[in-house]
Amino acid sequence: MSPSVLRQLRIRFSGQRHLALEQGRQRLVLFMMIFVGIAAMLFIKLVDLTLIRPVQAKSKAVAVKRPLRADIVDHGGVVLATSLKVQSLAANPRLIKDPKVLAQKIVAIMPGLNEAAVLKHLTGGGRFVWVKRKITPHDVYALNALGEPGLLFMQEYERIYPNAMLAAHVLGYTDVDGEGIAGVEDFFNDQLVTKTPQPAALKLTLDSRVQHALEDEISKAVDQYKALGGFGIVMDVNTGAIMALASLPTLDPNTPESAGDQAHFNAVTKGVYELGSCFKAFAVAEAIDQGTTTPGKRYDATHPLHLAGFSINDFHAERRWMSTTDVFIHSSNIGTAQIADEFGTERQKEFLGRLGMLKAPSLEVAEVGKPIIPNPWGRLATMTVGYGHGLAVTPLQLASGMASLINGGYLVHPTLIDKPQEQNRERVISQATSDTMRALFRLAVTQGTGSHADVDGYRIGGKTGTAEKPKAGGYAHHALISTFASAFPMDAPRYVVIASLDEPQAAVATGGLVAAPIVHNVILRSAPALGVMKSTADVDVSALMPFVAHKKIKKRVAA
Amino acid sequence: MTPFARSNGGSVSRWFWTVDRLLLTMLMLLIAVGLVFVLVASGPQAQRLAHSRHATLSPLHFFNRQLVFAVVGTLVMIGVSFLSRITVRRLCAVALPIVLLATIATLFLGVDTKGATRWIPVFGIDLQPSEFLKPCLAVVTAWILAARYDDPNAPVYTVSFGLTTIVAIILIKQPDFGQTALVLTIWLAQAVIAGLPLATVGLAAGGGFAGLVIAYFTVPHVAHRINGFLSPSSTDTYQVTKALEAFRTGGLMGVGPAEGEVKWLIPDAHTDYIFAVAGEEFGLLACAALALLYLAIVLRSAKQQLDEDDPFVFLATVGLLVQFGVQAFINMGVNVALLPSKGMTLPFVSYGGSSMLAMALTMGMVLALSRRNRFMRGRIAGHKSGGINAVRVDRRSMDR
Repeated sequence: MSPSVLRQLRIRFSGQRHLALEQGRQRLVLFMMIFVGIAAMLFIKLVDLTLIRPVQAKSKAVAVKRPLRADIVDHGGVVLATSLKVQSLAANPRLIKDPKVLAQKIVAIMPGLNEAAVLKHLTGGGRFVWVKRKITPHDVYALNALGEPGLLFMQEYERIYPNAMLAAHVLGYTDVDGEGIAGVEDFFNDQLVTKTPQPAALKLTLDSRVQHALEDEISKAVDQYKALGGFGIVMDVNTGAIMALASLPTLDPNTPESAGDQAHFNAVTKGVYELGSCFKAFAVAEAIDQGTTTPGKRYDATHPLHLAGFSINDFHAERRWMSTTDVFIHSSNIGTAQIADEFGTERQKEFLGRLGMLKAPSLEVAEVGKPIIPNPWGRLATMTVGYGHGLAVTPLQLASGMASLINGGYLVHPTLIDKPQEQNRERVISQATSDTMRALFRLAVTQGTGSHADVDGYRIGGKTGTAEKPKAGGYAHHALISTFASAFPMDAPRYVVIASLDEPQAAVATGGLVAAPIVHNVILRSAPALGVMKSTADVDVSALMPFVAHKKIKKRVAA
Repeated sequence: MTPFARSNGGSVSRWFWTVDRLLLTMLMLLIAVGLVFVLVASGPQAQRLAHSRHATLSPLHFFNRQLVFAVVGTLVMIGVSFLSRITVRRLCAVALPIVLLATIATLFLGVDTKGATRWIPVFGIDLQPSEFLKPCLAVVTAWILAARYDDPNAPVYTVSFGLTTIVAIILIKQPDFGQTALVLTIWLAQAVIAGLPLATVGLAAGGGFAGLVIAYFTVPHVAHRINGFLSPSSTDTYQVTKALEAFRTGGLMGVGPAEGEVKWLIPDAHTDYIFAVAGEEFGLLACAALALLYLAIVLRSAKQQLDEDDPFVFLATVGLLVQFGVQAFINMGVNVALLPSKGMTLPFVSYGGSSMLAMALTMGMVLALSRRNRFMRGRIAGHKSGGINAVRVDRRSMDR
C-alpha cells in the first residue's frame, strides 16, 4: 500500500473510531443512569425496611419487670409484708467467652452456689438464663467488678416478711416471681399487684401483739407436751374479725421452700377435725332454744348408752342422773347424746347448716377446708354429732359458731378485713338462749372441766374438748385433739379464744389440762392489747346454780 | 526538593500526580469501613468456629486476619496502580490462563465448603481462584473487543464471548451461579459499550429467555436447576428472613455497635450478610452512606472514562467497574431481599482474603488505567495506542 492510501485509511478509521467511542460514551452514560436507578431501588427498600416497617429492638435481656406488691399491715399499721428492690443475677451465655473461669469467679463471690450448677446455666442455650435470684448489694458490686459483659443484673422486688414467722399462715407467701401462692398473698394477689408507685397497704384485722401471744403460748405448749402441732384463733364475737390465727408447725414466709409439708398446712382454715366435746355447746344451745330441754332437765347417765351395736360412754363418768347444766359442765357424752336424740336429726342438720358448719367456711385466704359430714346421718350420727364426733369441721367454724352462741345469737362471718358491722344480722338463737349459754360456758370454767383457763377478773367462759383422732376402722385412743374453746369477758363477750394441741403426749392430755392453760396465758397477755379491763362484775349464773350437783366454793383442779 | 513536587521526575511523584486521588481516597475509606463492620460482625463466627473445634479462639480472630488482608490488599492496590496500561494488559493476558487452570483445579482438589468447591489451599490460606478470574477476564475481553476500533470486521464478539463462555462453564461446574451471571454480565456490558447493536442484545436476551422457558418445561434437570435458583434453600430463606429483621430492628440509627443480634443467628454474618449486620447495628444512615460510597466510586470512575480515548482502557475500566458495582449491589440487593440469595461478597467489606486481594487487584487496575495528567481533560499528548500513531487533543477543545 502506498503511503497515501495508508493515510486515507487512517483518516477513515480515525473517524469511525471517534464515532464508535462516542457511541460507547453515550451507552456508558446510560449504564450510569441504570446504576443510579438500581441504587435508588436499594434506598427505597432500605427506607421501607428501616423507617416504614421498623420493629422494636428486642431488649437484650428478657424484660423482667416484676410488679410492685402493696404492703400488708395489721390493724394497728404494723408492717407484716413489704417489698424491697433487689438485684438478681442473670446471664447471656452467648456473650460469655470462658464460662468455666467465670463460674469459678461467681462461686468465689457467692460461696453458697454450686459451681457445676452455675456452669450449666452459663453454658446453657438461649440468650437469657437466671443464675441467682435476689442477691445482696455487696455481691452485685463484686460481680459487676468482674466486667463480664455476659452477666446481667435485673431489678426485681423481693417480698419481705419483717416479722418472719408471725402470722405466716394468714399472710401466705409469694413465689420467686412475686406472685402470691398462699394465704392472703394468694387471695388478694390481683389487688396487691399494682402499677402505682406508692400503693395503699392492705390492712388486716390481725393484731400482731395478740398474734404473737397466741403463737408463743401454743408453741410453748407444743414443746411441753411434744405435740405434733397446735392451732389457735382469737376472733371478735360480733364482727367475726380475726385478731390472731396460728397454726403450728409454721414456716418463715421469707423462705417457704425450706419448710416441711406439715408447716405449709393451715390447720385452722384448711384442717377439718372432729372437735369433740366443744361441740356439746351446739347441741345444748339448739335444744334449749327449741325448748326440747331446759337447764334443769335431768338425764340418766348411770350407765353407758347402747345403740345399734355401739356404746356411748363418758370420759369423766359421774354414773348418776344429771341436769342439762351438769351434762354440759362435766361434759357427759351420755347426757348430750340424749339431748341430741330428743332434738332430732332434721333439726340438728338445719341448725348446724344455719351456723355454716356443713359447708366450707369463707375467709380471705386461699386455703379453706370442706367439712366431712356423716353419711348416713341417722339417729346414731345425731347422737355422736351432739357430742362432737362424726362431723369434722375446721377450727375456724368452731370459732365463728361459738361466737354466734354468745354474741346475743347472731350469725358470725369470720373475716380478715375490717368491715362495718352488718346491719341486719341473721339470728341463729334467741337472746335468752345466748344469755343461758354465756352462763353455762362460765360455769364450765368455774365449776367444771375448764377451770385451768380461768383468770381472775377476765370472766372467762369456755368448753373443753378432747377428741380421739379417727383412724382406720375406729378411733385412736391415744391420738387426741385436745381443745379449749372459750370467750371473754362472759358478762359482755368480746372475743372468742380457741387453742388446741394435736396429739399432746401426757398421761392425761385432755383439753382441760393441756389446752385450757394456753387460753389462760393468751388472755392474760393479750387482754390489755384487746382493750378488755379486769372487773369484779361477772355473768349472772344464779339461775343455773340450783342445777349444779357438786358446787365448788373455790376453783379446784378438775380434769 | 519536596518528595511530591510536581517537578519531581521520580516514579512515585509521577504516580501521585497522575493517579485518581479522589477515587483512591474513597477506596481507602471503604476498606476502613469494611474493617469496622468485620470487627462487629465476626465475633460470633469466631465463637462458633471455636465451639465446633472444641478450642478457644480469640473473638477478634477474623478481624485480625481481615486487618492483615486489608493492609496487604491496600499495598497490592497501590502497587498495581503504578503499572502502565500496557503492563496491566500483559499481566492479565498471562494471568488469565493460570487462574483459569487453578479454577479448573478446584473442581478436582478444591476445599468443599457449603456444597461448593471453590477454594484451593495456597500457603495455608484457602484461595478462591474464581475471584481473580473475573478481573483478568474483563481486561482480556476488553483487549479483544478494542480491536474492533481498529478493524471493524474483526470477529471480536465471537472470540470474546467464546472465552467468556469457557469461563462461565467452569464456574457453573463449581457450581457458582452468581459468579457465572456476573461474568456474563461483564461481557455483555463491555460488548454493548463496544458497539454491539442493541437489537442483537434484545434478540439474544429474548431468545435466551425463550430457550430457558422451553428447557424448563421439557428438560426436568434444567427445571430442577432453575427452581433451585429461583427459590433458595430453606437455610437461605432463614438467613434472608433474619437479615430483613435486622434492618427493621436497626431503624434509622441502629441499635449500636456490637449490640446487634443477627450476627448470632446467621452463619454468613461476616461475609455475605455483613450489610445486614451493619443495618442492625448502625442503621439506615450507615447503609445508605455505604451504598452511596459504592455508587460514588462507580460513577466517579465511569465519569473519568467519558474523557478516555483509548478503547482498551475504556472497555477494561467499564468491565472492572461493572464487576465491582454489580457485585456490590447484588450483595446489598440480596441482603434486603430484592434478589434471591447468590453467595456474593460485598467488595472490600465482607470478610475474606481472596475477595479482598481480588478486589484490590481489580480497583488497582482501575486506578492504573485511569492515571493521567490531572490538569488536562484528554489523553496525554503523543501517547501510542492501538497501533495507530495519532496526536490526540482534548475532545472538548476539538469540539469547540
